[in-house]
Amino acid sequence: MIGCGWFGRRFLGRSMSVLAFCIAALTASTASGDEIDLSPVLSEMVDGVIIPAYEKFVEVSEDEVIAIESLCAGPDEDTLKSARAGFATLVYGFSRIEAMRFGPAREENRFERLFFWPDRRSRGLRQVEGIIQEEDTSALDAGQLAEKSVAVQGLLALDFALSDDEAEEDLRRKGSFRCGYALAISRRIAATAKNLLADWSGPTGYGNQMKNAGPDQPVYRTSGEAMQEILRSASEMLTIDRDFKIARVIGEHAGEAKLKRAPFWRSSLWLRAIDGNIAFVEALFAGNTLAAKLDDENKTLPKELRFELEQARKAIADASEHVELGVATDGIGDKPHGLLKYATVPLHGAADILESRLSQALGLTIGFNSLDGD
Amino acid sequence: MGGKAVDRRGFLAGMAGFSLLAVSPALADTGRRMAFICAMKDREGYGVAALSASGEILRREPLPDRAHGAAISPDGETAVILARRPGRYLGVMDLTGRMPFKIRPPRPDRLFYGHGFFSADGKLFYATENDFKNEAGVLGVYDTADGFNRVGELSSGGVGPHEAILMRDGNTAVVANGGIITHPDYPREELNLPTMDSTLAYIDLASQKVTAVQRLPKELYQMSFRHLAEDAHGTVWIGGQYHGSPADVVPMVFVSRFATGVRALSAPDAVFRNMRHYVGSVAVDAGHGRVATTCPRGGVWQVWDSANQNLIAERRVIDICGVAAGREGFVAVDGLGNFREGETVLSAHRSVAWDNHLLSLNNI
Repeated sequence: MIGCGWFGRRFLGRSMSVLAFCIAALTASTASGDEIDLSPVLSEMVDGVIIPAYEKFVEVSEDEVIAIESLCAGPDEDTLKSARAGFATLVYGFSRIEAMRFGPAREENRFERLFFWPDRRSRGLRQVEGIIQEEDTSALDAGQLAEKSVAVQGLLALDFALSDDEAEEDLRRKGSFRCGYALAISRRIAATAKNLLADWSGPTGYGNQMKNAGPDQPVYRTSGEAMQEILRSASEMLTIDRDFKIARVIGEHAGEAKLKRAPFWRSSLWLRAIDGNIAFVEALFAGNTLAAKLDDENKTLPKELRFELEQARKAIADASEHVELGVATDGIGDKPHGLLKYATVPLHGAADILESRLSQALGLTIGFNSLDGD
Repeated sequence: MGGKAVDRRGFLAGMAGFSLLAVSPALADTGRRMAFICAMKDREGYGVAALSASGEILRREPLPDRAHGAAISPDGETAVILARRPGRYLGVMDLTGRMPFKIRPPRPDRLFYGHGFFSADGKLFYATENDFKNEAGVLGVYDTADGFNRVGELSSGGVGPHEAILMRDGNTAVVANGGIITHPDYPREELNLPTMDSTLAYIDLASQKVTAVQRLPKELYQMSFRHLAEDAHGTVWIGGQYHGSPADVVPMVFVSRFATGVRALSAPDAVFRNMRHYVGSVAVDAGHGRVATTCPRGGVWQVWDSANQNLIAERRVIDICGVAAGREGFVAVDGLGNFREGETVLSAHRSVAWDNHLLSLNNI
C-alpha cells in the first residue's frame, strides 16, 4: 500500500489534498477484493456445483460410449434411439459446464475439442462431412482422432454423425463407417471429460486453487480474483446465450429466424442446451454462503438473479414446445419467436446483476481495463 | 523460466524510470497546454480527452462507443482516436481547435481494430482493420488532407492486426498481428484459438510490401502480439496476450529487430505471473532509456532498461493501462480515474475510467 503521508507531505501545497490521495489508495484496496474473504462461497460453488457438474459430465460421456458401442454392435431402432437419447443427456451434461471456459478447459484446447462453435464458415462441418464421405479410417481410432482438427472430435461432430439426413440409414447398417466414427468421437469426448475432472479435482486441482487463492498461488492471488473469474464467466455465458444462441438465431421477426445458426439444431437440442447453461448459472449462485457475505441492502441479489433466470428458463421451455427443429427450413412461429425474444430480457437483467451489482456488493470492481483485454 | 531477481538496488534504480522526483517547475508551468490524449468513460458515456501535463481535462469529445488507441499527427495538430474492436468509427480531433470533432465509419466490409499511425509527412493515416469476409488483416489508408477519406489498403501481413506503428526511419511500419479471427456476427468472440497464428510484420510503406514476418516458437502459438513501441536503438518492444492455460507461466514481453527476429525477454517467473497473461500497453521513454509495460489484469506495471533489456522495477496499481513518456518519466492512467507520474498521483477524476492507451503530445 502506498503511504498516504508521503503523498501528503509532498503535495500538500498542490491542488490535491492528502485526503483525496488517501481515498484513492483505499478505493483501490477495496477494488482488489481483499476486503471480503470469499473462500467459503468459492468452496460451496466448487464442491457443490462445479465439480459435481464435471462428475456428471464424465458419467454421461461414458454412458454414451456404451450406447454407441451397442449401436455399432447391433444397429436397430432401439439401439439408435438409445444412442440419440444418450447424446441428448451428454449435451445437457456439457451445457452445465460450458460456462467454465477458463482453467482446465483452456489446456490443450479442451473447450474447442468439445464444442467447436461458432463454426462460422462451416469449416468444421465440412471436415466432418469429408471424413464420413471419404471413410477416413484414421478417424476411427480415438487416439488418431485426437491429432486431427478440434472440429472433428467434439459434440457438434457427433451431432452430425448421429442426426444429419443420412444418419438414420447409415447407422442402421451393420459395420457402417459412420457408427465407428461416432464411437471414436464419443471416446474422445469421454477422455476429455475425464481429463477436465481430473484437473479440477484433488489437492492440487483447479478447484482447490480457486478455494485457496493466495499470494503464492499460480492463478488467483485473492479469493476476490477467483470470484471475479466465476462472475465474469457466468455473465459471459448468459450473454452468449442471449446474443448468439437466441437473438442471432431468431432474428428481429419470426420470418427471419435462421435455425441452422443454432448449435445442435439437427438433434433438436438447441433450447435444451441453453436451459442447461442457465440452470448451471442458477445453481452456482443459489448457495447459502453467498447471501451471508452480502449486506442488508444487497441480500436479495441472489433472489433477484434467480428470478431473472427462472423467467428466462420458463420462456425458453414454453418456446421449445412450439419449435420444430431438426428440419432444414428457416423461420419460426410468432409464438415461440415472441417467447424467445422475451427470454433475452431477463437474461440481460441477470447478466447485469452478475457484472455490476453483485460484483460491487462483494467489493469486486471488475476493472474497466482488466475486464477484457484488447 | 529463469531470470534475474529484481533486487533492491535494481528496484531503486528503476524508480528513476518511474520518476519519483518532485514535479519540476517546467512541468508545473505547462499550465493548460494539452500534453496527452486518452480515451475514457465517464458519467456522460464514452469519450476522448485532451489532458494537461498534470492530468487536468482540458477538452472532452463524446464518442459513440468505447474507443481504444490513438495517434498524433507529426505536426501535433491532429489526434485520431479509434474505436475498440469491433470498431465502427474513427474520430478526428483537431487539436488547434479550428475544426470540429469528426467521426467517420469504416468501409462497410471492414472494422477497425483500435490502432493506427500517421505517415512521416502526415499526409496519410493507416488504421489496422479487419477484412472479416476474407478473415484477413489490412491497413486501411486514409487521406488526411481530404477529410480522412479512405484511399486504399494493404495487407497487414497476418490475421487480426492490433497495434501498428511507424518506425523512426519514417518508412517501415511494424504490425502486431494478433493471429485471432473475429467476426461482427460474434462480437469479441475469438473464433480460432486452437489454430491462432500471431505474427509481427514489417512493411515497407513505399513499396507496400511485407518485408518480414516474424513468429514465436511453436510452443508459444497461443501468444497474441498486441502492443508495440520502438526504442531509441531501433528495437521493437512487444506486449502479448496469452490464450493458453491460465496456469502457464510464459514470457509476456518480447523484442524484435528486423534482421534478427523476435525473442522473449527474461524476468523472474513471479513477474510474468503477475501480468496475468495480458500486457495492455507498451511505451518508450527514449530520454531515460526506459520502456514501460502495463498489465491491467494483473494490476501491475514494469519498467525495463532499453539498452540491456533487463527488468528494472515492478509496481502494483489496480486497473492500470495507459502509459506514455512524460517529461520526467512515465505517466500512466488507470480505470479508477487516476493520472500518475511515476508513483505520484497528479490528478484523480473519480467519475472517469481512463482507457487502454495514453498518447503523449510531447513525443511526436
